[in-house]
Parts: sequence; C-alpha cells; structure tokens
Amino acid sequence: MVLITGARKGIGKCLVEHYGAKGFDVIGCSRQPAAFEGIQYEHFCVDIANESAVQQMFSEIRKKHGPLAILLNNAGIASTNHVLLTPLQAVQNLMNTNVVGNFLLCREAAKIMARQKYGRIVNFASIATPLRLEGEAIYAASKAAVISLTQVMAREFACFNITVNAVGPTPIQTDFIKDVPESKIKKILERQAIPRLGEFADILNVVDFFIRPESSFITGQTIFLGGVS
Amino acid sequence: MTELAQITESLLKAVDEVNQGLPANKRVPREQHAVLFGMHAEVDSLVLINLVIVAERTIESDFGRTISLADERALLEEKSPFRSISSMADYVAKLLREESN
Repeated sequence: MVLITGARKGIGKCLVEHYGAKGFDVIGCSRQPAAFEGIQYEHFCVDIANESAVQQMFSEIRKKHGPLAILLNNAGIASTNHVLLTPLQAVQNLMNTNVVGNFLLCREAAKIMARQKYGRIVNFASIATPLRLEGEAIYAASKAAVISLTQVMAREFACFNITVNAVGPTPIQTDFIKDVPESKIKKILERQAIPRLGEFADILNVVDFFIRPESSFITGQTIFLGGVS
Repeated sequence: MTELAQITESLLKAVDEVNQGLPANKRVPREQHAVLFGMHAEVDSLVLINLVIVAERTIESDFGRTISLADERALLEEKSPFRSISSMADYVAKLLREESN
C-alpha cells in the first residue's frame, strides 16, 4: 500500500494515478476531498500539520488496510515574496505544512513500517534550495529542512529497513507555479543544466527508482532534477 | 482484572512482540520493574524505541484507543514514564483516563 500526501491535484494526483494504474492500493490525503475512478483508492481530508488529525488518519489506516510499504510526502505549499514583505503568519503556515507536516507523516508512517521491518519514504525537496532563489526564502528554507530531515531520518530508520530519500523537482506546469511570472520561470530554467520545465514523468522516474525493492542500499539521498546540484 | 493490570498485560504483549526479533542478550526483561531507561537501563535505546512503538499499537488494539506515549509531557516528567513497564503502565492509565474525560 502507498500513502500519498497532497493527493488532490498536481504532482500528487499524478502519483495517485500512476501507482493506482500499477495496481497499488493507494491512500491519499489533502485538505479538500478528492476522488479517483478505476483504481483502489481511499481519500482522507486532513491538515497534515495537525498532529491529532494525522494520528487519527494513521489509526484508521492501520485498522482498515494492510501493511504500509510506501509514503510519498508530496504535500506542500509555496509562497513567493521578498523577505522584507513576508508576514510572520505566512512563514508559520508554510513551515507548518512543509516541515511539521512532513515530519508528522514520516514519524507516524515509520511507526508502522518499523513494526513490519520494511518501508520506503520519499520526501519532496525543491531546486529552490540549491539555487537559493530570490523571493523564495521561506520556501527554500522549508525544503532545506526537508532535506535535513531526510538525511537524519535515513540514519535513524535504517535499522528498521526503512529508506528515506527525496526528489527535488524543477518547476513543472502545475497550479504551484501558475502565479509565478514567466520571466522568473525563464530565469530559473537558465540556471539548470538542462533548461526546460520538468514533466510529471521526470518525477515519477525518480520516485519509481527510490521505491524499488532493489534500492534498499540507497537512503538519505536527494536527487535534484534538471542537473541542479 | 483491574484496568492497570490489563494495561500491564498489554504492555507485556508488546514486550513479547519486540523480543521475538531479538537475540537472547538483547531482549527486554519480562518483568514489571526491570529498568528500561536511564543510567542502569537493561535494554538499549533502539529496543526501547521499538517497545514504545509496539506498545502504542497493542494498547490501541486492546483498548480501542489511540494514544501517543512519546508526547511532550512524557519527555518533561521528572521521572520518565519509560523507566519500567510498571511506570509505563501508570502513564498509559493516566493518558486513557484523560482521554475519557
């Protein structure tokens, strides 16, 4: 079974469809309801930064479903603003979802995975961190935290046969970048070794790689797309 | 059987489950007052972490209630609730009581 956060749209939706089509039992969560037809899918409406709501979701997953083998921690929010114009509340909201939410999902999933002595966790970083994008200070910082969490959790969970890795996508054509000016996207692409927008398939390829049983010796790694390092 | 005795049974079930995967010299003593945490701990920290995770689940399945043993208060208590099965049972009883109110 695979649990996908931020499943309603964008990359999350694509992950649900991809692993559903591959025959996985898929569980998704997001703040809003979502439905997918033709695949084995159950949706939970959850704010991932709310500890008791997350624990309740995992309690239901444990009762109703089989072993949780894979967590794809895709949920995240973005905020583009100059630091001097960024309100504290925006910082707290972003950190709560991108860092606290990520942590809570990993912790609760790892409790199940540790007991079954197997698990694959894939977190979502961003090229905003290594490119140190202006206007993305808080987002880049939150994703830097995700990379650190990935590295430390990889070490703490290794004894349970759980791997923890991260994929760092480039901009791809989703709602996530719909409000970003075209000129800014162009500037970002110019800093990539391969200067094009990412495709869903680019992300799926990396996630497929991380979750393969043969990838049991790969943990604590972040793969950035587009040749960013 | 009192609730505390039931909780202790549930925690000992968790001990049995954790011990299944361990060599004899690493096992958690199946004894209520054995020291699990602190200076004279008889188990290593990783085994204790495993025990806490499994205990949360055995309590959930035996009592139908979801509790988080490693919450802030557990870490702040002057005497750690994880120092023995007996102290863990007391802490679980407290959490279950609070959840009922």
